[in-house]
Order: sequence, then C-alpha cells, then structure tokens
Amino acid sequence: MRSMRLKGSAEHPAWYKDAVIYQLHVRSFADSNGDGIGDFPGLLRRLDYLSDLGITCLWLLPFFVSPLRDDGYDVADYRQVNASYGTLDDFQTVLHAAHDRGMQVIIELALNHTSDQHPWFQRARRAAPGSPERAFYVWSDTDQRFAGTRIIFVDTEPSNWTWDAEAGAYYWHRFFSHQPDLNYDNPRVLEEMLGVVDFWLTMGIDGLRLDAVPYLVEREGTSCENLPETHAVIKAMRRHIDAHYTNRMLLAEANQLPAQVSAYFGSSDECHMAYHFPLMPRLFIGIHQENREPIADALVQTPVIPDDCQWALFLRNHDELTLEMVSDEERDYMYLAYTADPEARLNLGIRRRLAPLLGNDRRRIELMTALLFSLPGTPIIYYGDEIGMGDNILLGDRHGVRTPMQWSADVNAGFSTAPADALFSRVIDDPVYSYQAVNVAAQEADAASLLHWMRNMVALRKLFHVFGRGSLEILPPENRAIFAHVRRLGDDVLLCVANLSRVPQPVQLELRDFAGATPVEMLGYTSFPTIGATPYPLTLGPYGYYWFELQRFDA
Amino acid sequence: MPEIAQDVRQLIIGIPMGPDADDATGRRASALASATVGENRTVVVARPGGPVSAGDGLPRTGGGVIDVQYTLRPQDAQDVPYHGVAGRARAIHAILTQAHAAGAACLIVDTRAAEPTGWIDGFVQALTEDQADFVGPVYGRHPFSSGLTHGILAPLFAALYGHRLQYPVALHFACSARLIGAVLDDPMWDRGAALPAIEWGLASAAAAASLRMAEAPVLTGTREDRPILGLSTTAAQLLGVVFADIERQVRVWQRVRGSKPVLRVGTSPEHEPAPAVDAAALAESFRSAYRDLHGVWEEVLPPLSILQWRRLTTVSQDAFRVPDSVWARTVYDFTMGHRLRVIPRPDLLHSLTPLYLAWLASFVLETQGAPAEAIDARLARVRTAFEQEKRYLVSQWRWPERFKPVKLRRQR
Repeated sequence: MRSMRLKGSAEHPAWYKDAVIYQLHVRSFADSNGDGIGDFPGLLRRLDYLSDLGITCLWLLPFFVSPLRDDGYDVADYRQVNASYGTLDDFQTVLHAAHDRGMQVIIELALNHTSDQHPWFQRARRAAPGSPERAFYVWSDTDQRFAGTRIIFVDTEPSNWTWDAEAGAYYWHRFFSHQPDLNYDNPRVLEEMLGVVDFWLTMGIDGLRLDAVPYLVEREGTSCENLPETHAVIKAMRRHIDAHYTNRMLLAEANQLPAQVSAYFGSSDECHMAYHFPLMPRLFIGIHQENREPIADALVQTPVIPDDCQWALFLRNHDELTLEMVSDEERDYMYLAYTADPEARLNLGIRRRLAPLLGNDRRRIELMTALLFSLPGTPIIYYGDEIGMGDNILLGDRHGVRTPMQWSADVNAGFSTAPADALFSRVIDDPVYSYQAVNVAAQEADAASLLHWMRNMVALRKLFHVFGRGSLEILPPENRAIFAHVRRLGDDVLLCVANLSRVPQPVQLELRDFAGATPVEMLGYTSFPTIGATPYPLTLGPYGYYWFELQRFDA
Repeated sequence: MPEIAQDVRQLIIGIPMGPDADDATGRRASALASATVGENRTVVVARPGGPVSAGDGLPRTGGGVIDVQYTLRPQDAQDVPYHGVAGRARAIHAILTQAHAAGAACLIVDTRAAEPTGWIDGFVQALTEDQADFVGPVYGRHPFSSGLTHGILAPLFAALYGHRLQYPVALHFACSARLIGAVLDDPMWDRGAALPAIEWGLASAAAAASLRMAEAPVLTGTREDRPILGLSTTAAQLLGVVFADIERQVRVWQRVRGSKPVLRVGTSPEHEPAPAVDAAALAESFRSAYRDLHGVWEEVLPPLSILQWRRLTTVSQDAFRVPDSVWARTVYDFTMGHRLRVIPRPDLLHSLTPLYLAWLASFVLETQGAPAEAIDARLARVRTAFEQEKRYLVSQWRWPERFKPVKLRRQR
C-alpha cells in the first residue's frame, strides 16, 4: 500500500511553469518592530502588495539562525528562524497568508556548506580524526588535495582550504572560509539534510532552492564540480521528496554551462527547475550591442530539457551579475559596457541593480523585462526592480543590491521607524534613485509608473500559459537589431518582436507559415494587417517591442 | 477535460425546490414526475433538509423518483434570488450530484413556469442524438418582456464565449454527464455572486471546455414566471453573476472573437404578442435617475459616454435612441468598474438599471410594431456591437490604466 503523500498548496504538479516568482530578503523588505531589520510580520503586512503585483510565488532568501557573515547563507541552525526576523510562528503565519492569496513559497536550502558556527562543525573540529562526527566535513592534512579546483570568490579567498588550529587540519570550502563544505560521502550528512527537508516541507513550503548545488562532492583529479556522486545526492533527495510529498519543487542553483546545468534536471529525477545563467548576461550584451546574435546564440545552445522541467529566468538577483559562464571576450565587453565605475566589479561579475545597469532608461528596462517575460521559462523578479530601485556599490560585497525596500518618501523609505543609524543598511539616498524619488507609494499614485507597467505585464503573461510552457522558434530577419520569436502551445501562437536599438528600426518578417492569421497586438488588443505570402513589414520605435497573438478568425 | 463515463440514454429530470415551495408547486412536480418517469428517466426532487411533512404531494423514493435533500445555509435564505427559489443553486448541485453518480445527463426544470408537456423531448434529443453538453432553452417570450436577456445577457454571452445562446440565464437547461463531471467540484458553487444564476457559470464552463452547445424550445404555458424581486435587484443580481464569471474565465473569453449560432433542436416558438410597454415612462425614469445618479456614472463612464447619455435627457421621444456601440461600451465600462471596485459593487450594479431602462425605451421606440424578423435582426445588430466593442473591454482589462472614467477613484 502506498503511503499518503503530503499535498502542497498548488493545485497543479507543474505549477512552477506558470509562476511569476518574486525574490526577496526578509531582512530588506519591511520592518514591523522598529529595530531597523526587516522581519516576517513586516512581510506579512506587504503580502497584499505582492498579490496585487500578480506574484504567484515568493522566494525567500535565507532566514535561518546565522552569524550573517554571508547574509544568511552561512547557516548555524537549519530549523530555527533568525530572531531578528521573527519566530517560527511568524514564518508560518506568512506561509499560510501567502497560500491564502494563492502564492506559493519557496525557501533556501544551503546544503553545500554550513557556517563554521554550526554545531556540526564545532563538534567536528573537536572530534577525533576518522570519527563519524569529524566526517561531517572535508578535512585534509595538506592544502594540496583537489588542486584542480577553481576558487570562486577570487577577490577574498586565496585557497579552497583553510587551516583549523583546533582540529589540527585543513577544511575544505568552496566559498568563504567561514563556510566549511559538508561531506556528502558521509551518509549521515544526507540523512540529516533530509531531516531538514522534511521539517520545512511538512510545514507546507512549496519548494526549495538548492544553493550551490554543483559542489556537493569532491574527487581528486577533477574540477570537483558536477560530479556523478553529486547528482546521486540530488537524486536521493528527489526520491525522498516524491515519496512523501506532492506538488513541491526543487530549484537548482548551478552556475554552469547549459549542458552541465541541464544535467541537474536528470531524467525528471533531480531538480524541477534550474537557472539559465548564460542567457542573462547575453541579454545585456545584446541590448548594448543592439544585436540579437548573443541572445539568439544562448537560446540556440540551450539544451532540450524534460517536459516537466523548467528554466528559471532572471535579469538581476541578490548576487553580482555573474559573468562566469561567458567567454573572456564577452566578460571584457560586459565590464567595458556596464562598469564605468570599477567599484561595480565583484569577483567575476557586476554588483549593480537592473535600473542602474540600464542607465535608468525606462524604455530599456521595459524592453529587457518584456524579453524576460517572453522567453521560455519562469521569470524571477528581484525585489525593488519593479519600481526601478537603485543600488550603492560603496557598501561592500553585495550589500549594495540588498538595501531596504523603498515603500514611500517617509523616513527610512517607509521601511522602518528605527533611527537611521540603526538600520541594517543605509537606504538609497543618491539624487537619482533616492527613496524620495523612487518608491512604491509614488508609483502607486502614478498610472504611468514602472510599477503599473510591471503589474500589467505580469497579468498579461499569466493570461497566456504559452509563455511558460510553449515551444520557441527564433526568426532570422535581415535586420540584426530585431529579435523576433514565435511561441506555440496548442492553438495559441504568439509572435514577439523586439527592437534592441536606440533608434527606430524596420523589419520584414518571414511569416508565410502563418498566412491568413491576423496579428493582434496583445497590450492594446489592436488588429494588425493579416499575414500574407510576402514578408510581413513592421516598424518598431526605439527599444520598442510587440507581442502579437496570431489569431485565425474563422476558427 | 477528463473523460466521464456516461450513459447518453440516462436522463435525470431535476426539480429544484426552495423552502417556500407551496402545495401547487409540489403538485406540479408530482404531475411532471408521473408524466415523465419511465425507462431511462428519473425525476429527482431536491428540497431543503429537514423533516418531510406528510401529505405535501411530493414524490417519494421509488418508482423512478428520488427525493434528495440539500443544506440551505442561513445566507441563502437571506439573499433571496431574483427567481424566488432560495437555495436553488445548492438544490441544482444536489441534483447534479445524483446525476453524476448515475452517469446520467440532467435536465433542470422549474415546475412553476413550465407545463410538463412534450417539450422535454427536444432536450433529450439535443443531449442524446446531437451529443450536446449544455442545452439552453428557447422561449416564445417577446423581447420587450425579456429585455435584460436580449439587451445584455445574450449579446454579452455571445461576445464573451462565441456562442449565441438566446437565454444564457434561464430556469430550464440541461447538462451532459460530461459537463456535470467537469463542474461539480468547481469553486463557483461556493461563490455567493454566482449562485443566483448558476446556469450562466455552467454554460461558460461548457464554452471554456469547447463543449457542444444547443438550444431546445420550452413551452412555458401561462404560468407566472416573472421575477419575484424588483427590476433593479434582479439586474444587480444577474450582472453580479456575469461580472464574477468574467473575472473567473478571463483566460477563456479573451481568446474568443466573433460568435456562432448554437445548434437549434425543434422549432422555435412564435413570439408571444408584444406586451404594452410605455417607452415614454421608461425614458422618463432614466431622465429622473440622471439627476440623482450622474455623479455615480461619472465614476464609471468616460467623458464621451457621459455626454451621450446626457444628450438623451434633452432630446424628444422621436430622437431618443441609444446607439448600440454606446450601450455595449457602457456595459463594458461597468464590467471594468466592477473589476476595479471603483465604487462599492452593489451601488455600481444597481446604478446600471436606469441606463438599461433608457436602452429598453430606445429599443421599444425603434421596433414597436415591427414584425418578429425585424426585431430579431435588430437584436442581432446589438449582439454584433457587443462583439465589435469587445476589444474595448479586452484592451482596458489588460491595461487598466486605460479605464478612464470622468472621476477616477480607483482602488486596485
């Protein structure tokens, strides 16, 4: 007899394919108790805002007990909420309130490493070599093991090994030295981590973002990334989830080349979703070069994935705009194009928000968002980008893109009533992006604001499942400033056309296959001339875009 | 849509009864049962739960008649629907549940308004021979006496879902086993706004699933089937049903363009003689209401519409005409106003009634004395206007900032 599986909040098993995900940090979003730090009760009060925006899924950055040396990705207790953000009850209240509004909730599972303050590590460093406790982490008498492994945080970490005097040994870490990697060769580690998974899934969360997933297992003579043993760990986790729960989702964070990332879908037996890391920088390159080729290339090289799997698409997130998965030449181009201020560079990336990257040009922000929404995958909106928030690259590390949400022109941007010097971070107060100029309240009151535009685009995208589920066909018009593609799902056929250039562009699209269909512009519901046997002419304004439904009125 | 095991020959004839059903209603139910029960036909009478009193003339379980009970909630008894049968939607759900268990199709009949005569065979034919999934009725009513249906509901249903059902809201209709299986667990049964005319939701669900629609004549005899409540409350309830459904089915109706006739089984009844309608009084009702309500309408309608309605307050009776496009846009503006909650929804729904009266006055003045074919042709032009102006609704729905009433007090 099959055991009863715990149902998730979503009705459909593949709910993530039609989702619009909003990524936020509890700490940065809204402070309810005036201590200067965002918290769950604050988030609770803002759920209606997210519901009105049309968001269907919240992705919460780590909120667990942590010394916060890596903004919570250094977890010291996987089963407790950081007291600064509230209590476990507060989290559950938010979870249920989100579900009541039809929103799913996914949280982080930083499974590759813990904080060095985690009891497992404290116990391990004191345990005898060879003991089960010691074996929770990866130790060595030398810092020369796994020598072929690259360093990820090149700006801060000279080695993947750090000496621990108490243990009398080196420990392995792919990220900061205060984040020792767990040892998945020890079965007890996976056992413990499955206990953590059960703790949160039983509570009702709808998915887990698996942080830093390629680095779980190490082997000599390899890059220690994407190893078969790592995939075995993910498969074991997926089997466990499928056996006990329904309608839950695993999202892989694997900053790798597409072929390697697609391996994390397995045969529908690993993760349901994975980020499409290579696409994002090429969108920025494409719009800067006013040339579709970088975008089209990234999409053409995207491997086919199982039907029930999905790419997660994003423009910006809480980290630097990573350039690890582009060529050296492309990386140099991105630096030259997007980092006039060298302070904006961090590791192999750029620590800026969307609006500053695009010169605060409303047309470019809209175009990039329209591209994000029209490509195959599920879009992720980073908190604040819906109002065009700015950043502060002088705050160090990635803190400049994690500043308080700008709710209003009130003190502290309406984020908190604490004295300004008690805030966890300064609010943005430069002349262009200051909270007095860029905030939710002002944009709510302005029907022409970016927020209203974003809300309508989210609603429009949700209206057409073809965006999340349909096939993709890239059109090759002569004018390379034009990126045009067709999406199809059943009877729904959409034509999306974008002008990547700052000046008006004409284009002739070869649409003979759709002869007899009438393009109906989706935003204004205006019928364009019916498609015939000859190339279809369009003219697009600077950074203009069209989404058309190709309708056949005799249907 | 999942495949539902169905026996196309099995038919349940459902009679929903409210708590106030009188002896006459009970006797008519009995008569219907004895006239129709037979091989493959079962009558199900649904009544509110509680002890069944003896001697009320209702059929009992046995002999092809099933008596089922449903739970009447306190709210059902308070919110009396326009047709006067409190809890009708819950009764229908109970009947459909029985049909589903039997894998049968179901015909809902209101015994207050129809003689149990041979017309049932038309519905049976539509369900069995023509494999229809939703069968609506065709009455012989004159359009003057069913203006809400002909002026708003039918053209709106056609524009939204592409099917020219003459009576998308009616006391008689039929569903196939397949449709019943698809809708029994639908959330609409728990939405108060949908309950006064649940058949609209069933018809839209059938359209959404690309199921077959048909129509069959109903002979209503001479029974009183007029709304129990006043026009304003009736209109508010029916439009509440429609607007709630529009929000529910947004992914469906925005894909539909144009409309097609539905399959007609049997011969359409002749129009009954035109009732006496005092168009001047209707127009005057509108003019009086304009003085009180134009401030409310300015929160829903754009300047051009307001000007056109205002013009009607000053023209002579000969020139009293509501252009079809203005009427269609006005209904669509109220749809948007309802969605965006620009004013409290009950106020919005009630405030449409005087505008409807103006439309009805205009329609009567234009078609009085005309032959039935000419009136039908005129109604077809109204429907066409709703279809042509639908892009106005879709455009605003997708970009609510385009909804620009004279006074904007939007609460999103």
